[in-house]
Amino acid sequence: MIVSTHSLSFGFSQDKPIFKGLDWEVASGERWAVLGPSGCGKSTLLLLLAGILKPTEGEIKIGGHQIIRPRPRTGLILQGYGLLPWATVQQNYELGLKLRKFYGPDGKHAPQEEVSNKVDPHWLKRLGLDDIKDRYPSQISGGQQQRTAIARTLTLNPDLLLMDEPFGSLDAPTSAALQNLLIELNQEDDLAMVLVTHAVETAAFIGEKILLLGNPPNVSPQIIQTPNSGTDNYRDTKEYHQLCQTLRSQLEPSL
Amino acid sequence: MKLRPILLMSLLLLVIWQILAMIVNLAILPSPILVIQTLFQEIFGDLGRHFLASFLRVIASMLLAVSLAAPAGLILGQSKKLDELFSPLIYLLYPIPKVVFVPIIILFLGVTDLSKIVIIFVILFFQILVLVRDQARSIRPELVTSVKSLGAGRKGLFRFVYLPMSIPGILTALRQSVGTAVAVLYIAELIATQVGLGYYIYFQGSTMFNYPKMYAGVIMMALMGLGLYLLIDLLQQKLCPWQFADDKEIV
Repeated sequence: MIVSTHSLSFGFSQDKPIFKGLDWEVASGERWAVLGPSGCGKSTLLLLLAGILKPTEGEIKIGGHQIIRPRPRTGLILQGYGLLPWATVQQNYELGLKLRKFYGPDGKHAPQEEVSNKVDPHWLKRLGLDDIKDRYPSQISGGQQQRTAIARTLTLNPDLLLMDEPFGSLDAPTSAALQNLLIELNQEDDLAMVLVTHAVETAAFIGEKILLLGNPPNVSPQIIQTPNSGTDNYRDTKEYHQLCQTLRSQLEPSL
Repeated sequence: MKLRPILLMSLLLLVIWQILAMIVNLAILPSPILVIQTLFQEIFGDLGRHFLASFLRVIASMLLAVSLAAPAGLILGQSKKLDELFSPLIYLLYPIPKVVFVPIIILFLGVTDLSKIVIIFVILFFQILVLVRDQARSIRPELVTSVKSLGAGRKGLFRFVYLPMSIPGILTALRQSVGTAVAVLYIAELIATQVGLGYYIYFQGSTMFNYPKMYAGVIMMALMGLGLYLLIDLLQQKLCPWQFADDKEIV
């Protein structure tokens, strides 16, 4: 198991818990979508997994270790992509490596392993960013910004990728291309993914498994398995349309 | 701003000055040719010494103001509690024209270099503090979270987020206030000092009645203001290239 939560509880205030005793597991290489209405706690769950927020009770284990601070092999991509506006695509791409070289994986201690000086441009090329590597984020499109954020994360060789509304502000073709890319990456490298979204169609297409959150507190949220998700032409199948309808009806009462 | 139009405009102003000087034909408006001749004679002597004194005061104040105000602005911009605590104080002090503190500072610190440095420092300090604070406030939390998730601790956040973020604010503040700073330095140097451009200008004009020298002093004061302004411009282009990047291209 890459992710396991044991009776995880969390709330920003004590009387309003968002999660209460949540038990949940993500296996290596699995592709999860976390779906729910706004305010259900899906972004909070992501920050808990990333080690940015700490559980009020219970524990979260990532890769077998309890998570108390950001973990080097977990990649986190937030809404708005988190690119440095004063750094070019290339400099943003190198940011994680530079941070690790100077400050160590936890930001405090000197690096334990030898980090190579050379930046491997593999992901920059693979994600088609080579031609725009000298531009600043304000000069490139939303899709390119998202790909820069993904490249920056992938070059750190993660085994778990956490993404918050990765397609939120992208147009439909860009979004579809990016969804296909993520599925490819997931299959190639056995990279586990947890994607948070409020869009039923995105969850239905990309999630092998869907964690359906409702209004807090979330105690034992529903899990929906969609073994054929992400395959070619899946969007045209009856299965997909039925799933979308089911998800929509599940979400409605809480709206 | 390009250098060429600035030089051309300076030339035009000199020509207008020359014409005016010829029309009024008075000792209190000498020809610019005479003034520039005097300037070149004096710059390696007395004028140069006074200029250097003033220039070093401004530079020292700028360095002092940046090194104290920028970190303070960052801290206030990041900490809601401290910001709430200090906001009323800054609100009270910020709009006060700092030039009124000149007599008080001179009373307490005497006619030393330090008193002049402190006067300019007070002007620059609040400008930088407020601009850096506002910029630090406006930083998006998800940017900090993202950089943290890449493995940044305090040092990493400082080096890659807070430092580059505060540079434009510092430079904008300096640009806005360097003119005022030089003006106030002039006022401060009028009072009880023996060295500095303010003293030189006043002394040549009202005691020696040497108007070409007085004008040479005025020109050096103007050049100091302009030079600092150009220096800040240059620094901004070097240190903040992203602000000069072309607008979004259609890709």
